[in-house]
Amino acid sequence: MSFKKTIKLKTILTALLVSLLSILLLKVITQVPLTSQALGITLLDLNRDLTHSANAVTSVVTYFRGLDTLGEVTILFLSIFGVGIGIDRSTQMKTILHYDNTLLKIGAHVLFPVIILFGIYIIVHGHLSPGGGFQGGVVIASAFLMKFLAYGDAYELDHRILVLFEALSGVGVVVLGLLGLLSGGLFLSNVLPLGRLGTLLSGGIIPLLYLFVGLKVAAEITVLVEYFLRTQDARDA
Amino acid sequence: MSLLLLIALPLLASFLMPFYRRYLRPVSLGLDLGLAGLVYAFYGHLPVQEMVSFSSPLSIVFRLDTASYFFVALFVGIRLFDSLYRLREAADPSYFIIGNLFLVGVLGLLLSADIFNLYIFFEIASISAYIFTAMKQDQQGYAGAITYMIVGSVASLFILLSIMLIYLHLGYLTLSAIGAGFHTLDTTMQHLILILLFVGFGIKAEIFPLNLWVADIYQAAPIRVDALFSAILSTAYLFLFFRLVYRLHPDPVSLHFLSIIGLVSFAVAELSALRSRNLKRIFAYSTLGQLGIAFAAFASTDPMIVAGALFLIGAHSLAKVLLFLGLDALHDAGGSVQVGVFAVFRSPFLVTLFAIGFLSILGIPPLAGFIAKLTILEGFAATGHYWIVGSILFVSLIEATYFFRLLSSRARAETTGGAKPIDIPLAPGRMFLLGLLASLLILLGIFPSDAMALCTHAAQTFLSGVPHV
Amino acid sequence: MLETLNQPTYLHFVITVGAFGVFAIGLIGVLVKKNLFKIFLSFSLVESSLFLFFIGSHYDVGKRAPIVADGVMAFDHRMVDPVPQAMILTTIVIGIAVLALGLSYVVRYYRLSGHTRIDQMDELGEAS
Repeated sequence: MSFKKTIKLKTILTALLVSLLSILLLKVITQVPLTSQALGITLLDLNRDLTHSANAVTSVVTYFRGLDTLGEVTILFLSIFGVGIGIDRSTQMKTILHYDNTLLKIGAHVLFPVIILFGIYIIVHGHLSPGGGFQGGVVIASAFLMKFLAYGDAYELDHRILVLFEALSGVGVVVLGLLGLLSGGLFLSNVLPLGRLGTLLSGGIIPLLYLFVGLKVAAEITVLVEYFLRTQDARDA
Repeated sequence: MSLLLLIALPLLASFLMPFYRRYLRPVSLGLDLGLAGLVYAFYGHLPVQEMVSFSSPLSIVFRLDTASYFFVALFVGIRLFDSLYRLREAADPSYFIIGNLFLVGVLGLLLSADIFNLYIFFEIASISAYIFTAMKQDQQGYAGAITYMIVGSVASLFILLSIMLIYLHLGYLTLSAIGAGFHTLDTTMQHLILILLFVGFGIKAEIFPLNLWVADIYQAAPIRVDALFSAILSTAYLFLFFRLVYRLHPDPVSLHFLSIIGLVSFAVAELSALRSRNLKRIFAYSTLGQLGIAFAAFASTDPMIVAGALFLIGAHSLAKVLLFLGLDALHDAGGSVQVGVFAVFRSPFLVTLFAIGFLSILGIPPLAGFIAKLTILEGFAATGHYWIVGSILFVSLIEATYFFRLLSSRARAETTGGAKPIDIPLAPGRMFLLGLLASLLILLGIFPSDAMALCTHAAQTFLSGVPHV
Repeated sequence: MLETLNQPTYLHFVITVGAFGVFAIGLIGVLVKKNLFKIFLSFSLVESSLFLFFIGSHYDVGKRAPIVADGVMAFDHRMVDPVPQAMILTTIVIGIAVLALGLSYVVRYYRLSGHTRIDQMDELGEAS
């Protein structure tokens, strides 16, 4: 087997062309000075009175641009649903990568609840500290990834519970939006007391919304991990 | 009554689907009827504007005016028709969910007036279109979906970069603020943003140099899905493209450039259709051609021509649903979508439908397409653009060539009597629905005044704020 | 001498050049590579470069995270703009969703056709 690699002329030409275009783009972008960001500064001011959330990024994600987050949840649901179409779970699911190691199994057993707890901690403190629904959800999903790697086929996910979480977390976000509408306000507007800045129960609907987002992300990424880890023929054959 | 219900109800129905899997058919029909009722309830209260989350000029705004109402009503109507058409079939949960989210994405594209929010709905519509393309789960379907995803990713990268530049240099995300401040920007930056937006949304609006992939996608997707792509998706992106164009107050030179692109798009598409032997691809090219005319007409910014273009889009959507559903019946019985199968099927009803669809797209009186093309041509003639009139008429001749070639292939098959004829079984309910659609095309052609009044009003709203060129 | 690098102009210039370097690498990958996996990963790279550019352009030395904690008592204008961060957070999730869908389709396509090369993808077209 030789490691000599030939590079085609077409490749070089494409690379040159793209580099040239990038430099041109760079020239335009760097020559124009930036202006002040009106929207961000106003939102920082508004955040003081409107949300009582200690983390302004969280209030922008879940409150000021809450509809984007609903869209994001929808996209995640849609794409994972697309991944799952046409999969026969009973015959095609078989773990293709796992380590048969007792130490790993014991370690996974001990760490699993801790990681889940840490994920939940990140989610519920999303309005107080860096972190939030997406980050915490991914942490929770990583706990399941560890289980898959340690136990292989011996570990079974209960898909009914997973579907329940997937459905209810999505419904939760929409229902929160509709509650805002019903209470005479706007879609996704605040219906809960704001609380005191910096405490766990503050920020109105923000923690609740982030909890739903976190559960949704956790459920969807777990499904995704299972799909890519347990699909036969994905690597071998 | 809130505009957000149009988004929230289909979302709720999709998320809750695992709990009522057994009653999917009634719920699906109920949802579509509910949405249609909701859309009807908004009639007469236009324009509606609604903020999300908090009340301030900075919040995400949803806006329904007469122009977007025209498209919302068209799309929800087509969705209801589709739902009725599959009433007797076993309910398919995945089609239900993807269809709902597809509708959510498209309605969001029509309603939202915030550029980053538009990007989110753009992605929802695109991803559901990718999944729709792969719905057949065969090699062709996946190849089509992968192609579509690559093209779509390029488009969304361009749009993302342009949104970032807009935010970096203007500091706002609402369309009205962007429209107001765009001209204060540095000229080079303006051009860069315009080019990025043009490529990004142009890929999705399927205009000429950026539409070479479209026929492949139509070929890969199931035929029913093609009907939705042709009647809903391409149309929505076209509307979105021009909503942005009108917002950014383009100069006459670039508008002129856009109308030439539209005409070239029309000509290239019809020439490709002439060469093609696959009915799915022929219909796809014909969609590209019709939307090319609409593109050129929108770029004229003349109220009368734009009204004609809206009428054209409506008539085209109805005709394409008719043609694709007819092709679906043909494909179910004959198992092929090659041109040859068109010559040998035996169903006078279906032949009439196909003929009505073809003639309406061609613009033959007394069908709806005739009124549309007449208005557009009259408008162009009135503004002195005789060369546009001439080229549309000339390219329409090419269009006529392949439509009549298809129809006449039947006559030849009858005289020679070569291949074995195929019978097309069609349920009475479906015959009724298709017949209804065909008669709608005829009725719109004979009594166009009410629909035309709506289109004219929609065109005036659509163009409001554009300096008359 | 390194102080000059702290000035917003230089800082933004360095970040922008770096980000668009990654952008160019990703774009070359999209155009040149024939393996579908590599194409989708290149798209991911391009997307990340845009995130880097956007977040980086909003950072100045001395600005704080927009979070009230650890001695910061109130929101003021010396905090970085929270909107780009929120936008990027949303876009990252979208990117993951599209990447997951794309890769799963590549896997399924491989199962049916036996290859993952884009130049051999000839199922569609006039001939078939």
